[in-house]
Amino acid sequence: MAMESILENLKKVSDPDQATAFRAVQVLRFESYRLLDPMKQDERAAFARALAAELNATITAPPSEEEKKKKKNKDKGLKPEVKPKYDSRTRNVILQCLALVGGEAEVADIAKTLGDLDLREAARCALDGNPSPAATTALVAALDGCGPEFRIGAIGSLGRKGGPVAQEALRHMTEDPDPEIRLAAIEALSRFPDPANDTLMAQAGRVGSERARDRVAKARLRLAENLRDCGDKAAARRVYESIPRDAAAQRAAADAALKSMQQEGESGGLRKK
Amino acid sequence: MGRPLSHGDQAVSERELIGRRDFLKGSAGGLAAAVSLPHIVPAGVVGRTARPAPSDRVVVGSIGVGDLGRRHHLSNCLLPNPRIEVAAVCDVDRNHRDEAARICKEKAGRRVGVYKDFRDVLDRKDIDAVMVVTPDHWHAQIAIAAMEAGKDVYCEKPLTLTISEGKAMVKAARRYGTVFQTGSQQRSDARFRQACELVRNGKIGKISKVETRIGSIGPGEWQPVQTPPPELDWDFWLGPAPWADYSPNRCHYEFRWFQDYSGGKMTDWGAHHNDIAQWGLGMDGSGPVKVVGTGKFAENGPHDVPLSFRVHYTYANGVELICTSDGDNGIRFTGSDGWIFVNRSRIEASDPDILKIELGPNDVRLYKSENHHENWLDCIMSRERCICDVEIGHRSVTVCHLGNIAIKLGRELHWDPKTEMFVNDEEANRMLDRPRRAPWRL
Repeated sequence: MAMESILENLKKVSDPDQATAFRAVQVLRFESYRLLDPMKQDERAAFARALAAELNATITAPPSEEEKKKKKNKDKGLKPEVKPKYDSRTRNVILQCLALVGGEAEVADIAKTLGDLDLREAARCALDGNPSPAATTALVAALDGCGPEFRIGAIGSLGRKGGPVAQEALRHMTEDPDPEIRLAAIEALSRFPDPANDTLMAQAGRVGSERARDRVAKARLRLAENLRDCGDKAAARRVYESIPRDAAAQRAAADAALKSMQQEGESGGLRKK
Repeated sequence: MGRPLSHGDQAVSERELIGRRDFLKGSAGGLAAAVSLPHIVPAGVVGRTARPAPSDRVVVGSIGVGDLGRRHHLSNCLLPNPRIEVAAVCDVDRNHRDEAARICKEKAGRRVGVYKDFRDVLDRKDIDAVMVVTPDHWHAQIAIAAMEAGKDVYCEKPLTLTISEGKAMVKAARRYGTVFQTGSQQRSDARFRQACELVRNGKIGKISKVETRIGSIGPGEWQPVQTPPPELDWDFWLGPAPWADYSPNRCHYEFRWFQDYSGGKMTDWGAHHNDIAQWGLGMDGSGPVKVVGTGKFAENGPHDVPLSFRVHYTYANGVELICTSDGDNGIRFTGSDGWIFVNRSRIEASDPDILKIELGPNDVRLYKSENHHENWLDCIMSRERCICDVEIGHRSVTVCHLGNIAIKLGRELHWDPKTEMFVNDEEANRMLDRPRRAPWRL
């Protein structure tokens, strides 16, 4: 897509006429879909770069009337204001497209918007969809951001991404003062088939409300399943065995899994004979 | 959190109820191990006419009581059923949940718990099972949470919004031994079963093509953005979907035509007819290996799913499936010796005698269910799998999702039904899942 066309459509995304805005969003969206093609890597990269550049583009505008009124008696020499070229709606649409086509080159531009309350959720989603390791690093940095809901979102994204960098960051988050953050980190860690995570989980499962302890037990059950799927049956068995009785549904599921593992073992033994 | 907005009658103590739950899950599970599919004895067969004892009843929470949840499931199926005791209704729209509670009082003569937050329903230990009749973008979130809470689940079709959600649902169901019914009720209709049994037994020869015709939609009309009505928690309604300003035609019923919440006609009706195609082809647990499609989209909105489409699938055995918005609603199987067409009102064949064929002792017999809800209840008791178990529902809607993805990407895609990934196509694999709006996550 030519740069002029990208700019023209970006300009229309916030058009007051809903149909005009819809058409512009669809053009950008469908260009993103079209470029999701292994044969169009270069074209996709160029499109993503163009969008990322526009994401944080600024314009210099004369001070608004409101601004003038505010500063009337304080400062006679009002300077032109530097502000984002596009409004939040347009920048959200850019981020949605970047969630599909963005790569490593776009991470820095996306990450810049994590500090903007109107954009950070879409930015988090764009990094979530971005396959580059740099996106994981940016999400780890975002864990220090404010607002528990946003941080929980970032934790969930790191869980989906996987990898040692994400795992380490999530382990660190199990010590966060906010119990919801700690629980979200425990849940995300269940996706990593590493038996060492169970130590943190077991600890977390000893405190908190009944609902919180049940959430930890669920996470441990998922961890055990992942360990089993990865072939570490001994570790899986240990986790299954240690799921507490007071989490009834989780305990029942763990017992069923242990029984099935035992049956698998027995039939494996029979085959050997 | 954790407090019902009003309390239902508690005729039985929680301890007694838990005991009964353990019975349902435990002893019946043992029984299930000794029985193989599809030898479930429906309750009707054993001549239950009087109202069953409380210990034989399944206590159900109804999550999502909008038009379909309230009128069809609650009023027509759950409340009149003597084997069910409805204990809770839940909806993010106060009008829906209050009306549902009123219907329960009127039809069953008892008050039920009334909730806005599904998690409060799942916290109730006396509830055995839940009915999930929310918009599609909520299905996986609620169904998985329900399974994790040890509840059996009936979840409306289309089962999911993304293929990844379906994989997570299947895993959860297996992890917890959940009895799970997908609301693709055509599986419990004798006409569709007959068509599939004839196809499966070669009565129209070697199958070469299946057409599923599911209809089109219009572009919709724009409405100005509005403040959500006070009875509706719009933020909760959106849940894991991206934030959007409220307008009535994005919400109740109409959500089907917005890709953030659903997959359009392709998933709305495709989840029915592609499900029958999969059944007839014996592809439950699998799927096509190649897909390519085209679609027409609204030029000016607001609907952003395909208005009309034609998708061409190929299975590993060479059979073609064409899913299209054109033609007479229904499914047409074409074989080397004839064809069969079936929909909700009729079944036809190239030669009417085909429909008179009686299956022989060596012919394949498909799982027989005559009532989708009763089948769910029977399976809750026996711990067998339902006629439209979670994996069947997931695989059928996967066919629909593949179609929508192929239309969007505009190119031929190669699918591996075993790994449930596109083959050597990381770009297409980016379409298998979507980020969820915080704090929601699977």
